[in-house]
Amino acid sequence: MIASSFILLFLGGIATGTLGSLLGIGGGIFLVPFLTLVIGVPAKQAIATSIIAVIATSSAGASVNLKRNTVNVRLGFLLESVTVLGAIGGSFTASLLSGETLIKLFATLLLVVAILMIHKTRQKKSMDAPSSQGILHGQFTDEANGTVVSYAVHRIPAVMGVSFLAGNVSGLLGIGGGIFKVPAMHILGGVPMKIATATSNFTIGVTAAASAFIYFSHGHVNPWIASSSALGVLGGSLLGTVINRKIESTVLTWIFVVVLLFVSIQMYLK
Amino acid sequence: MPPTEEQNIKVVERWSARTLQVGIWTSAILIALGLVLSFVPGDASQGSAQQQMVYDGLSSIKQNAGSPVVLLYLGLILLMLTPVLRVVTSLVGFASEKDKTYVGVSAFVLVVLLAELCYSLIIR
Repeated sequence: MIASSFILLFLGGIATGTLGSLLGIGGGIFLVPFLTLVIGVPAKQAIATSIIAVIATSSAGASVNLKRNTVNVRLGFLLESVTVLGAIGGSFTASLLSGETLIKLFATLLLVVAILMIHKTRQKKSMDAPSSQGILHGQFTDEANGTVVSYAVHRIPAVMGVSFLAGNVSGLLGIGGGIFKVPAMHILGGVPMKIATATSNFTIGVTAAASAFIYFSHGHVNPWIASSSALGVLGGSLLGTVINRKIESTVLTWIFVVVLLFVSIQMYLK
Repeated sequence: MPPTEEQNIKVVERWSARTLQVGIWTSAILIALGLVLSFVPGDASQGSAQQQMVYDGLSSIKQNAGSPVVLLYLGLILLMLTPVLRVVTSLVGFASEKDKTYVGVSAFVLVVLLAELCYSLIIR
């Protein structure tokens, strides 16, 4: 492998890891197009590399977020229990719809989610306040402004439903599914943005792990491409967690919205 | 003074985080080492292996024994196993907190994960 491709892959990995761990996504939505269009990696190898990148972002992020108490582990596992089922069901869903339809559907969903997220930022802060109706109460200290935030999770069935769909999408496109899980937790569940991203980050690695081994056994993991990217992603993820300390939750939400819109538009253009 | 419930939870999460850290750092070192060694001139195996479109998973490791690419494979496999590690440490954590519901939930996730792992190993 020539040095220039290593550097490209590594840098691509860093960008993916940084954004990914910040937003609670695996970064696969950037990495797959980057690998296929910029570097010219065959599709299946790109997806396999992306899945490994998701695992890297997830594990690296989790190792830090767990100590910061921003991961709601119980919520994570609750959602993960349906996401893995979704991942298995994903292969059946795929055969029902054409590739074109899937992408258009995906792009539309992202747009809808972006609008909902924007709407959410306009709402009063009191919507995040602790409520006796929610479950899985939690509390954390937002290091960006030093406040202690209490919260509870609402509308669990809805959040779980979205997680199931996220699982469907995950194995197909080589993504972690965080792009749906974070808004689901934040908008439907009323979970603060930093908890939603950290919890999502915690779970997507598990979703990706199953697919990863299947891709590996089918021989789609190119060790040089995957390694170079993974190394970058690991570094980027840790960088992301450092940024996460100081960044304000609203800024985080807006970055998320921009990413959603960007990816949505990219998919429409395809 | 016996540890409070909250302190117990913190200990479990810290232990979870630590095992993950060991996992990813070991993986990173293996990968970095493998990549550095791959750049050593005169390593012929890298060239031919790169032409492949299919990397043959586990059997590839046996075929390439002695080549730095084995380090890459080991590092990647370890990385892919870190989520499983996470589920196991969380399960242990829930068990120590006597939280039967979540022992069940995490056990379910673990079983599905291991099933898919075994499936992928068997079909090869």
